[in-house]
Amino acid sequence: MQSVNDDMDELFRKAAKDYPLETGSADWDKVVGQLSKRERQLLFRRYDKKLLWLLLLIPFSFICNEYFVDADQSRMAVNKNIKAPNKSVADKNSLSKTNKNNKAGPATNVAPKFKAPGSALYPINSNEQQTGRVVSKRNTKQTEETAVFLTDHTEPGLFHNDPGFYNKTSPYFKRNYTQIPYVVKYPSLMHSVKAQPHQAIASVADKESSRWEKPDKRFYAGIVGSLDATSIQFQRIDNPGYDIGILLGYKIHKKWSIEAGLSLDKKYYYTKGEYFNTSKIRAFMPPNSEIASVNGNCQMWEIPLSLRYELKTTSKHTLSASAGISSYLMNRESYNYLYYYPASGQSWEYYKSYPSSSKHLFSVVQLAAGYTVKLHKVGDLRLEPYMKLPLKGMGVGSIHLQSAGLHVSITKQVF
Amino acid sequence: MAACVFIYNLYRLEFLHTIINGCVQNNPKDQKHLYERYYGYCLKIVFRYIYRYDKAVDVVNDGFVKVFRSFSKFEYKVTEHLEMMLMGWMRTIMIHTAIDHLRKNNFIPEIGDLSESIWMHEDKSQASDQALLYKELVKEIKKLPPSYRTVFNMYVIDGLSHQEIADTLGISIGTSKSNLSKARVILQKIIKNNDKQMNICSL
Repeated sequence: MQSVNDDMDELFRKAAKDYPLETGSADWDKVVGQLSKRERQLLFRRYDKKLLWLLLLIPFSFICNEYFVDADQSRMAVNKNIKAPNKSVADKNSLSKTNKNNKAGPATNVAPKFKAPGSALYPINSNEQQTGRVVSKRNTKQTEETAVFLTDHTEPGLFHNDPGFYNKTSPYFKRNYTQIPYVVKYPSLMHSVKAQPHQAIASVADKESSRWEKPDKRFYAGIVGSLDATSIQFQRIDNPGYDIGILLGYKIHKKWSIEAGLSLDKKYYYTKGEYFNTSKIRAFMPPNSEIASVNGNCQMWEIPLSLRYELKTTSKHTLSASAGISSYLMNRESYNYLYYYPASGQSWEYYKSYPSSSKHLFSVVQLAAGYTVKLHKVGDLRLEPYMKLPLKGMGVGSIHLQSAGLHVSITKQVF
Repeated sequence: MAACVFIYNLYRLEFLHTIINGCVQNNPKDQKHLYERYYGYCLKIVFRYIYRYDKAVDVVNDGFVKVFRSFSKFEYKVTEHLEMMLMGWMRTIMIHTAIDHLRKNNFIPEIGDLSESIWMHEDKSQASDQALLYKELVKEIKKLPPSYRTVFNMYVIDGLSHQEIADTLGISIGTSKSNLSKARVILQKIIKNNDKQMNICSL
């Protein structure tokens, strides 16, 4: 029997060596394509770290944009220095009478330069008594809007004696009216001021200017980037990851804020096989094999939601603490498995990528401490070391991703 | 004459060494030379494991990608056995790649006939009769269930031990021996049937 087997084996060995198979199907281009794909993946991983330096350019673009915008706005900026006018704000009831009674003549007392955005000048004729000038009125639901015309105070007789003044077809009206880019809202104050005209105007002006320059801004937004180190069960850290995104916040109180965001994260991690749950991949594993270790990376969208408290605030700095919870939407997971046969100790490497996504809502707790520096007009620069702790396992291997890093963000109050 | 052969062998050795060095440095030209030179050899190995020809081609290409990626791990000395060492190393990679493919499909048997276009057609001579015989034998190997086919190929043709087969496939030595025995029984039956038919035809 053995000799039969040996003879048969020898026959099959010869057959395996010399059987006539067509071998002209070589396709070098396919092999090159596969090799290039792998090299591109490796190259991209190398360049991942180089691209992190580009994050530093983002605040510069923000700063440059702010300076250009400020330069434009400064041409139309509100002048806080208001000179005392001679007369008070107009009384609408006496308007028609005043206009009829006033005599013709140039405006001898030059009106104060009351510069609202749009530089509306509000000249007042000294001959008028306790009146102002109204070109047109528009009644709104709550306040009366008075259009203040932009005019050259050297032109005489523009305001009250011109017969065509209130005539919309007159050239004066047209010219002046068309020069009004802004409408100044004057609520009931306009009708109640009598005795102290310049103070009234100044207070109105102050209020208006203060409303324009220091609004009660509760919403803020910004961009955030960070370097991230991820580990599983406090094992060694593989490669640094990163994340970049946007941040939105609402100040509910002087010291309390709610923040939400959206960021794109890339995490690299390593784990021993014992911390990698194989229930989802057991069907694809070689029989009787175990996983020795796994090197993985994942790209995901993170949606953090946190509550921030300002511990100490000065005019230039702020110390804060925040706590929150994040959701991970994992886009793509890639793993390099090292599996082995316990019986023999022989090992294999196997690479697998999982393009399908998995959602892990409210799965990560985030704790952070922040140091914010006010950058004047640019906004606020915040440095925030953080720690993220998982509440449950995530991904293909139900791994517990723990991350720590430093958030760098620039925020600005919006409205 | 002997001198010519010697010089020729030296040249081949030097050429091979150059190609190997080039592949270690990821030189595309040397990689392409290696691929074209040993493609047929690798395809014949893989085709014994993988039933379908197109799948076998894909597995060979995957195998070559692994070869080029791990060329730095190929330890060699520039001796007359350099080509044998290289071919043995590539054979191991190709076998493992083929087994990985079979494992992905859970060793499920494939069905369907093999197209005649995948075989090389020799001219009508004594050598071609032998080639036909070898072709039929390989076809019978391919008809075996994947698990039997793999063990038979690894033990009988590729010369691995039962221990090595068990470690590679993650089975016990007993299972390896059992599969081999079953494969032999099936092939012996087929050979005996073919002999009977030949005897009947010759009568």
